[in-house]
Amino acid sequence: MVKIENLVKRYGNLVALDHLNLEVQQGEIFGLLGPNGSGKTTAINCLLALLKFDKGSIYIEGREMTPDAYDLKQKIGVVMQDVAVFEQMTVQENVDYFCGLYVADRTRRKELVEEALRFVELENFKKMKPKQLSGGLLRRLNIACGIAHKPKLLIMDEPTVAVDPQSRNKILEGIIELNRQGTTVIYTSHYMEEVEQICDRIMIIDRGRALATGTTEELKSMIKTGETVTIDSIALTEEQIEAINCLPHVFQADYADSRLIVRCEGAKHNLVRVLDYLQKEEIGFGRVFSELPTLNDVFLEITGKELRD
Amino acid sequence: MMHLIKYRLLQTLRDKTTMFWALAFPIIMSVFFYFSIGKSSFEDTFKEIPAALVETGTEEENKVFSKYLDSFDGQLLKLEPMSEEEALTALNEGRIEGIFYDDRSLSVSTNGILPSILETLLDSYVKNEAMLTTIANEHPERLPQAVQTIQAYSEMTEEVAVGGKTLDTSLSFFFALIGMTCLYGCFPAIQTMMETRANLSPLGARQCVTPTGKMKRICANFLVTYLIQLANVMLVLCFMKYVLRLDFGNQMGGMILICMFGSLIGNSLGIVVGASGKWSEAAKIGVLIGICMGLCFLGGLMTPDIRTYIELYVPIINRINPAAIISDAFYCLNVFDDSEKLTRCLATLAGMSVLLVSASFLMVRRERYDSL
Repeated sequence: MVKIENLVKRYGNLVALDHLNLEVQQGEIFGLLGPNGSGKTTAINCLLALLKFDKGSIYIEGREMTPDAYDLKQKIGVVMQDVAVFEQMTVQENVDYFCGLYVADRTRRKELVEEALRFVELENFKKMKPKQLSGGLLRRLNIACGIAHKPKLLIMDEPTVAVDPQSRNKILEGIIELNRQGTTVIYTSHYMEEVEQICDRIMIIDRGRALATGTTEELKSMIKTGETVTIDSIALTEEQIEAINCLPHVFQADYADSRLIVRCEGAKHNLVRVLDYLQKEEIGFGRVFSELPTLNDVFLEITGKELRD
Repeated sequence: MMHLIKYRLLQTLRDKTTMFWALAFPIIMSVFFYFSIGKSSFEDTFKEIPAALVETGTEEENKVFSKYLDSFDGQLLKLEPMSEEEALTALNEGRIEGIFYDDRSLSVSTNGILPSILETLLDSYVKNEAMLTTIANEHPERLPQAVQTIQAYSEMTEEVAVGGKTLDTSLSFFFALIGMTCLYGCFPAIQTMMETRANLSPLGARQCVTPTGKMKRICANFLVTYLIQLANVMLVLCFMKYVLRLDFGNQMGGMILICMFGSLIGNSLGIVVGASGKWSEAAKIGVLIGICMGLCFLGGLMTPDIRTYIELYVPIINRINPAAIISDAFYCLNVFDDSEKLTRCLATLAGMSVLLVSASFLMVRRERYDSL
């Protein structure tokens, strides 16, 4: 459906996209995950033929994407990071206006607008002006404007920024529903939980470079960490930390501010082994919990920094 | 296209800020002008001049002069018979502008237009009296003809403009104000350009990724903002004519034609500033305000003399300044009756508009941006 080859985009000396390659299959939800400034939005803007790029090529449905490729644009829906609606028009008028840029037939458009408003649950707000809406409702209006014409390919650039958890869940459920109806989705975010929740495949991007691509499981299997054990309110000596580091399957034990974080390879009974050692040494401790690897762990291992940095 | 037109119409009409600058502001300005320039000008022109008549004798000549002055009472003069003492007191208190004595003399306390008019009345009487006395003594048979000639001369000396039409000079300010209103069409136009270019606003970006081409959107926006601006100018014109009761003569058709071309150049100005550069909306509006005010200043909105100086030293500015051209067009229509120059003014406005809009189209055509 979408193919980006060797895309290079520079802003002066800054390389925003560094030979980015990306392929999105029809019918999937493809996540573009990276910290702020990693190049996600730049990649999307190049894909939409809004930005000039220095090198590379972009194809949608096998055809090169250009500013005047109107037949391709007809099939694309876009939900921008910034809310882009007209302040002077009501909710319904806004959706109708943007839908009208794709669909000329008034009867068909009326149905589509009503459907879009129902989909984002804004039927009761359709006579309101955008400034009368809350942040969450405004985001939903932004989405309705992007999806009303039933696009084959939907590109969503961080649509849940500054949205309350309830609205966020509704938005995510909506995206899954759209995908179920046959829409291919490209979804960018720096919230790993969202991407993990809805995306079939994910590309982790940083400094304009694709670091890894695959399903959530594939990405997690790429890294050493299989389990992370965290123990609070614990007092340890240097020797004891060294001893924990030498336990089977443990490859890293960090101790700071009375908290011990033990990273283990993907084997069973890691938590039991650590607790056995503490009991044997008669070391007291507080809260204990164990986590399976997250996308943040993937990002941390690949780049050496937190995803949310 | 109708879809674009409908929604652009709704947006622009509901945009209170834009409509304020494009419609309400010129109306407010016209009211200020009316009370500060227009009204005082009318009052100065048509006010009856208060004067006293002091009768000092009973000779026939004195009575003739009194009758001469009486003929102006209620039209140009507000004449009141007084004793000399009363008249001097009234003059000192400023209640009257001068004292006529029936022995054909005049006392005034200050210099100025009104005392000058009184002096002119006296001079006119004295000269005519001397001429008629001479004719009566030397050619008594030609006396009736001489009287007739004096009456005819007085009819001929009515103040008229070059084109044969009377004109209140204060109207020049209102012409410049209409010119300014036309140029203010740049504000609705720039608003539409801000929402058209992807690198100027999120709305621009969103619309650029739709299959509705940029040119189509710009054309629809231009059409709507032009018609709205033309309606605004018409409203301002009607307000001046029917509420402020300014006398624009019987050339309303021609004035509407000038407004059509004036609005065109105003909108084109907004389009070209909107199409050029990646400055913020505030910066672009600031630039436009500066351009409009600069053009209006050079076009004589604040002081009409500036145009004379420009004509003397840098006449090219008057030829390319839209505000000056619009003002010129009004003069050609209402004062000089010069249809050739009027046509030249309108053609210049149309040519400049075509140039600006074409340049804008070239600047935004199939544009991909360096950054958003």
